[in-house]
Amino acid sequence: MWQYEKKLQYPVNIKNPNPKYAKIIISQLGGPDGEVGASLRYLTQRMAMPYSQVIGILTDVGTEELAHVEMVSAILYQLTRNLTPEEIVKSGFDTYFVDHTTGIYPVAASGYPYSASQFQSKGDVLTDLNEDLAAEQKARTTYDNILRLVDDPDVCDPIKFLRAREIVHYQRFCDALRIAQDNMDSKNFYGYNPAFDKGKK
Amino acid sequence: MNTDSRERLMREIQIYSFAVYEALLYLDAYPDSRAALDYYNKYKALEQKAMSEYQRKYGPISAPDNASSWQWTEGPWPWQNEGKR
Repeated sequence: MWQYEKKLQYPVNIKNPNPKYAKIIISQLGGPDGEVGASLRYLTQRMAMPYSQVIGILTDVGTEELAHVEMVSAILYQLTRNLTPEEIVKSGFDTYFVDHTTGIYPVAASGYPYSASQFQSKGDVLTDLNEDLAAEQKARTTYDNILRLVDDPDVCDPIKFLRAREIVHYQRFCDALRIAQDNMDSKNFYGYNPAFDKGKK
Repeated sequence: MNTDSRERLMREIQIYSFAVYEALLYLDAYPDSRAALDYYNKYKALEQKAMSEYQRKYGPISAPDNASSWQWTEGPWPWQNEGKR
């Protein structure tokens, strides 16, 4: 189970609301490489994972992703406070506002709602860990793109923190892949899938 | 209530918690690293000390073990920084 701690992993203190920034940053909540998908990916994949140590990495990275869902949501909440209808229309935030007011809802920047079709839990050790490595890099690229478009230090600071975490998670998944392969048949990693073909050698 | 010192103490907790979590992820991959374990233990103790101080002064961070009154649902919640603009 999980227990909540009433604190953000890293502080979010945004002085100036900016719905235009919220429109793009929301992709890291409900977009194809966002934090909701990241947490669900690792927390679902760990069930079929046969190696305890790799389960630990998936559990702890997946748990940290939940803290990132909260951080991105806090950024969005603070970017959309005290808006006037004029500001909402001018910034283009109106297309989101009409459906969600300033409530936080997981969508991509394109407006496409969060979809589990954007990640995999394949039930295959090597496939899942390679998906995780790619996922961390894709999220890192998205944060890089956000940093290319955003010019407010209050916003860039927590985004830079989140970007750095993608790199650390990537390193830990490199370790996870090594640990998995150390447990597998080095003569043929693809001879069988230890998450399914139990008992085979 | 002094918002500045509350914020400073929360920042201290966030720094220690970050060190703890970073060491935790590392230990998942390198459980035999004595240096990482020492680092984890050191920052876990500092985190717990700062958390106890914060909770004594400003209310619970996690649901309390034993409460004389129910402060858990009192704000501000972590994303609410309204007072600081």
